[in-house]
Amino acid sequence: MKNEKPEQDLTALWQQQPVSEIDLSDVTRRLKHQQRLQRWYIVSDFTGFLIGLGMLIYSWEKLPLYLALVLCGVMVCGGVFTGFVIWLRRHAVLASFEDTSHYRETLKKQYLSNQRIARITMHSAWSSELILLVIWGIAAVVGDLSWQSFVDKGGVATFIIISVLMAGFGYWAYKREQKFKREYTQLVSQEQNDLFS
Amino acid sequence: MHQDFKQILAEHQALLSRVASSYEANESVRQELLQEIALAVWQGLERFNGDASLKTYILKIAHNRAVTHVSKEVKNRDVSQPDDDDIVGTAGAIDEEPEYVAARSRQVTSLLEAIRTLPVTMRQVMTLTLEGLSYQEIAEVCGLTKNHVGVLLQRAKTTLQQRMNHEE
Repeated sequence: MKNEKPEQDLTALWQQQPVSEIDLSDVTRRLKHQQRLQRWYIVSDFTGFLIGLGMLIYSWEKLPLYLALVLCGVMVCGGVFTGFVIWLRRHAVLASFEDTSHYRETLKKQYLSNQRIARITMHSAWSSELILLVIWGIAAVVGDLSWQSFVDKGGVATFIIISVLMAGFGYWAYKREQKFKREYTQLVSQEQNDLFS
Repeated sequence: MHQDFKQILAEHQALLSRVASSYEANESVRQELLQEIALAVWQGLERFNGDASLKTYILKIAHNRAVTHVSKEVKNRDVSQPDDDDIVGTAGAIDEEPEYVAARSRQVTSLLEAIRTLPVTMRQVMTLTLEGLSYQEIAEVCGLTKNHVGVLLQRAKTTLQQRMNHEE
C-alpha cells in the first residue's frame, strides 16, 4: 500500500473485492412474510385491547364498583401502553429512510425505550398478581367472597397457576431487557470502536 | 412496479454486497445480511420520491440496515474478523499471474478487515468515498456537514494505511 496515489489504490482494491448475488425470489418471499407479520402485529395489538374493552362495557352493570374501577384503570394503562408500542414501531420504520446519523440516534432511543418497556413488562408480572390479590381482598372485605367459596371455586389453584405463569412471563421480560441493553451497548461500541481496538 | 424494483436491486447488487462486506466478515452471515439489506431497499423504494439520487437513497437504507445487523447479530462474535477464507483467491481475472492474484487478494482481505475495525461513521464515510460519492452526497447520506466528512475521511485514510501497513 506504499504508493503515490493511496486513495486511487484503495478504490481499485475496494472495487475488486468479490461480490455476492441477491436471491430475488428469497427477497420476494421475505417481503410477503413481512407484510403478513405487520398485519399480524396490528391485529394482535388491537384485538386484546378491544376484547377487554368490549367485555368491560358488556358486563359494566353486573360488576361491583371497585372491580369496574380497577378494570378501567387496567384498560387505560393497557391502551396507553399499546399506543406507545405502535408509535415506537412506526417511528423506527420511518427512521430507516433517513440519514445514517439520524437513524443511529433513533435506533439507540428505540433500544432504550425497549429496555424500559421490558422493565415495565417485568414489573407488570408481579403487580398484576398484586392487583388480583387486592381485588380478592376487597371482595372479601365487602362480603362478596368468603374463604370457603374462594377455595371451592378453585381460587388457590388459580392463584398458583397464575403465579407460575407470571414468574415465567417476568423472566422472559427480564431476558428481553438484557438483550436490548446488550444491543444498545454493541451499537455504542461500534460507534466508538472500542470493541476491536 | 415489483418488476422495476427487482430490476433496480439486480443493478445495485454489487454495491449492496460491498456494503454488507464492510460490516460482516462471515460469508454465510454476510449473505443473510445482503438479503436483509435487499429487502429493506425494496421496502424503501416504495417511498422514494426522487429528492436525492437513487444511489444515495439506496446506500442510506443499506447502511441503516447494516448498522441494525451489527448491533443485533454480533453478541459475542467478532464481525470484523473473517472465519472463512472465501475472499482469498477470488479477486482478479483468470488470465492474471497467480502470484499477482494472490497478492491482490491478500490486499483486498487486508483492506476489508481494516475497514471493519473503523468506527461506524468513519467506515461509512470511507466506503461511500470508495463507491465514488462526492462530499455533498456523503454528507447527505450520513447527515453530516461537508467539512466533517472531510475530517473523517482524512482520519479514516490514515487509520486504514496504518493498519494495512502494519499487517503487511
